[in-house]
Amino acid sequence: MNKVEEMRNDPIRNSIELNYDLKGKRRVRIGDYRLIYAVCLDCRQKGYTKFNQCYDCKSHNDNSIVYFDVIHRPHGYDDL
Amino acid sequence: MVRTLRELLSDRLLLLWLVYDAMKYKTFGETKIQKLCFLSEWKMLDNHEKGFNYDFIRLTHGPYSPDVEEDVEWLENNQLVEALPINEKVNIFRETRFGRKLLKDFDSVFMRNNIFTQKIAAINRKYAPMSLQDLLSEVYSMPHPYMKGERTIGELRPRTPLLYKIETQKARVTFNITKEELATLDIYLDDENYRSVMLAGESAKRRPLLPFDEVF
Repeated sequence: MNKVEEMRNDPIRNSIELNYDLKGKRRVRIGDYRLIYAVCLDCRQKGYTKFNQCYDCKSHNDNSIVYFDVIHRPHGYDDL
Repeated sequence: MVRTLRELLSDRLLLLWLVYDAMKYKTFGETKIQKLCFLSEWKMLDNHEKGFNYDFIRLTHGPYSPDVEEDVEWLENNQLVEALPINEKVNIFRETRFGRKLLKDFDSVFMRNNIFTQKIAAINRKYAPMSLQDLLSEVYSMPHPYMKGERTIGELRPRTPLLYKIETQKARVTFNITKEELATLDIYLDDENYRSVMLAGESAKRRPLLPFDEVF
C-alpha cells in the first residue's frame, strides 16, 4: 500500500506508457504486481481521452488517477 | 543461462513471428520449430546479432532448447497458436485470430528489426518445406556451430552444448524494442492479463469510476 501512496504523489515517475490496445494507460511495477492506470492530466494533455473514454471523465480533475487493473506478473529478473 | 524479462519477451515475439511465417510452407510440430529456431539463431550469431536468446544442446532428435519448449507451450496456452493433435504424441500448429492480431499490432517492431526477421524468413524458406526426417538429416550432417571441421551435430554426444545466447555488450546488433513496447507486449502475451485489462478499460467507458477509498 505504501507503494500506491508513493505513486499517488508522483504517478508518472517509474511508470511506463503502454501502446496499441492499451494506449492511454500506464504501468508501474509494485513487487510481483503491475498496476495499470491513467493520470487525468497526462491523458488530457496527450489526447488520450479518445482511447480511454472514461464514462465520467469531466467529473475528474487533472490531479485524478484512474486505476484500471492490478495484474500479477512474477518474473525473477525484471529488467524493464 | 537465465533470460531477463526483456530477452524472454523478445524471444516469444520473434518465435511467434517464426511460427506464423513457417506456416506458409507446411504443417509442422514442435520438433521442427526447435530446428528452425536453432538454425535462425545460429545465422544471427554468425553476425553477432542478438535476436533469439536460446541455449541449445544436442538431444536425441538434434538441437533442443528447453526454453523453446517452454515458449511454444506459452504461446499455445495463451491462444497465440493452436495445437491440433494428429496422433498421441504429435501436435501440429495453426494460427489463431489473436496471434495474427498481435503480429499486426507489433508490425512496426518487426519492420524496425527486419535484420532478424529476414534471417528467419530465409531459414524458413529453405528448411520449413522439408519433411521432418529430411530436416533432421540435414541438421545432423551440419558441423558444430563453434567447432567447425570436427564432428557433425549427429556425431556429438547427447547434451553437448551447441549454441548459447550472446551477451548484449558482445553483440553487434540487438533486437530493438522500446520499454513501452515491451511492457505492452508483456500484457498481450498473457491471455488472462490482456483480457482483464481490456475488460477494465471497457468497464470504465460504461459506468462511473469508483473513488479511491472504496477500492483500496
